[in-house]
Amino acid sequence: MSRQIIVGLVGQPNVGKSTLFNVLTRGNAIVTNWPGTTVERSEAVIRHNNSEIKIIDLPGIYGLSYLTPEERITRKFITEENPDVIVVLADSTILERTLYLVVEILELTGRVVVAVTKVDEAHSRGVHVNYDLISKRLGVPVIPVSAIKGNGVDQLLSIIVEKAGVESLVFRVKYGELEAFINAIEELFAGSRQLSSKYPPRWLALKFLEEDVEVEELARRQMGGVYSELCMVREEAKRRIGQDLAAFISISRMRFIREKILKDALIIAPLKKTEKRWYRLFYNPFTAPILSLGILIVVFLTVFIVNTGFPLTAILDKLGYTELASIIGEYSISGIIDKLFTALSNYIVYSLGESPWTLFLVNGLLGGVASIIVFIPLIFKVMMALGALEDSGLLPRLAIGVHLLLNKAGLSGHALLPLSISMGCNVPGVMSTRAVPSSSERLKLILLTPFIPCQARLVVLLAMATAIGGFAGALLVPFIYVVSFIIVFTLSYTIHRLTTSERREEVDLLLEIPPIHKPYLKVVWWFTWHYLKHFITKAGTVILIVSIASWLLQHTSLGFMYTDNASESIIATASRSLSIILRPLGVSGEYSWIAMYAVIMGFLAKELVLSTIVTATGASDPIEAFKTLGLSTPSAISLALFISLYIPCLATVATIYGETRSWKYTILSIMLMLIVAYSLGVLAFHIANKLLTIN
Amino acid sequence: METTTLDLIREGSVVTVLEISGGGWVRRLYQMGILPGSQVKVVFNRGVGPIVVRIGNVEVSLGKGIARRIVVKVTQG
Repeated sequence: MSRQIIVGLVGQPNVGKSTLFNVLTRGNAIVTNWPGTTVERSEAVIRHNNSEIKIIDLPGIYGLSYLTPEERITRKFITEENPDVIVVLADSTILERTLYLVVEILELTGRVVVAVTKVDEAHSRGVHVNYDLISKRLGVPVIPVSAIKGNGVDQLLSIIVEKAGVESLVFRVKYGELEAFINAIEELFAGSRQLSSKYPPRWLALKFLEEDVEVEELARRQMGGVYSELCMVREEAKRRIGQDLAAFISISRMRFIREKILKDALIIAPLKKTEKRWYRLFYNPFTAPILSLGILIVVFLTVFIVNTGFPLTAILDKLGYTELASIIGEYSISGIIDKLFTALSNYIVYSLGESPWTLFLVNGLLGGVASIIVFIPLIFKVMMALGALEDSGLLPRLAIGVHLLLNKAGLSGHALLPLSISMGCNVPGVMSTRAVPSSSERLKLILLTPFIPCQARLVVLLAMATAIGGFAGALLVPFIYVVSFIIVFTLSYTIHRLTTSERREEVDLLLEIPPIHKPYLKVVWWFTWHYLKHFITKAGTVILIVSIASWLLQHTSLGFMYTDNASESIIATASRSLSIILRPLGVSGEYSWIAMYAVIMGFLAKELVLSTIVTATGASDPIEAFKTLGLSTPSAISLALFISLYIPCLATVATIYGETRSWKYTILSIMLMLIVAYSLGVLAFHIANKLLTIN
Repeated sequence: METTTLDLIREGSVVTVLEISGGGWVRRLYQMGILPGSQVKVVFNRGVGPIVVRIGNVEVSLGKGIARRIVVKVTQG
């Protein structure tokens, strides 16, 4: 058997790279991070015609400058990992622009196979391409593929095997007036064996003229006295060309693609209007915010109703259909899963007998697993809904629609995805900020998205709302969502004001708008899985460990002995002395330590608030448990607000640290939430007290 | 013909990009096909909010701050 073939997959964003990667690897990828970065690296090993092929999915990039971590990773991969083949993707619907990356990579290496994607879509849009002609002109194989239908994928794999390690003789872009300078610099670089053995001298020359950061540094350190000569040639080139050299080089490449590569090889039949008129409503500054917010609200309400029954149950309840409301609540997804686990626990206790071990098994271990599994379908549906919006092309339009509104708060349309995902789970919410191009906006979002109530908090809040009951109970959940969003926007506005000097400086938007189409289920599933797996692996591990540890803490007495009375446990004793902290929120009396206890557990994972109160009070369900606490309505409201806001859960804290690699920032996030939650909780208590005692 | 900036261009006009002045977005704009010499059609611009332009077959939405940095001359419309 021959040795393993190493293949790198490179392409611009939105050209269908992840679709092709998933089809090539049949979804069996191993995901890690690129060393020293938070950029994801997916790779998979497959077999084709008796050859073993390792495919590495490189991050989406527009070009090969040295500006973003994604571009640095790709360059380093090509020059240092010595791949046998680089598969560069070009989008047949926007061939001219996507060939730009192909041309840039061909200047660096000849081990290239070009895969042209979305062939069907291009055809239906009246785009016709002569792939053979383009292949001949570029000097490398060009394979049309339609990843969704699987056409061309086999051929692509065969060509990869055939071309492995073959350095094709490729074309050269001609840079007109700059050519003489390129040649001069190229010759100087060719004189350095160290550099020219690793990089093509012509590529070094072009990058040096573009004032590329990395090549500049290489030249300064390794070219010795020649460096000043290089700089002189560049200065002369600047004088001759009379414009930014990087711009001149980009324009020459574009012109080369248009005039030399695509000439007579690309026919675009004039189509009737491709975009329907109503799509424009997303651009209009008056209709766009209303339409976008409307769609988002409908989508989220639908998901919430299917997940928990809320707010449909609350509305039916108010209208007098109490029975119908409780049926819907019971048969919502979370209701059904809850029932299954209760039945399973009862069965285990029944068949094994009641002992500390079975209790540990049922409440510690199974309870932990249950609290992860309960949330999977809830988060799953949030992600599916967002995935459908994303793949259909609607999400970028919604981002444009809300851009103006978000702008008022010092954010941009790029913030929409992280904020939306956070409604499912904060962990993938924080991770999805990676796609935000401005690093200051990204840091701001990492700090603020944990304020958004996730599905776990929704479940806790619903139980508290039911326990409070009446008018105040019905309004509790909407009230907390509104407050949370107000906090996010107010804080964002404040940070924006404090950090930007110019008053009118806006946070900018630069977004490609793909055409609208019916979402592909497969692609929606990939999107969903991408974010859901972060919940399962990251949050799941933390939740499981924590629920086991918390069970042990709850059943260890002060003398480090087993106790089945939770109120004698170490953690209960600690809560008793700390419960004074909650007094300003109106939480006092005999059972106030249980609330404190729940608050401590809630830091570990928010949904533990419910089970903690249930076990500590000995009640049969969360609603009864909350009632046992004997809180007044104002203090219940302020406690609910505090619990929702007071801290990112442990899994989110770990994610914030993972994304920022900064303890300062992680601690800042915790402190910010604690301070905001506590002061708002106290404020809410006093206001509610005033309002409710007047009536 | 007089030059102006992209944010001031009327809907439906086709412009040629002359220069992109400063800001961290320059390279990204180049790579997206918005660079000196390229022809851009303004698909949507109502004075407020992001504008939408078409380059070849792709539509791109640009915030006002970025559009203000793109110097253009009207070639059509």
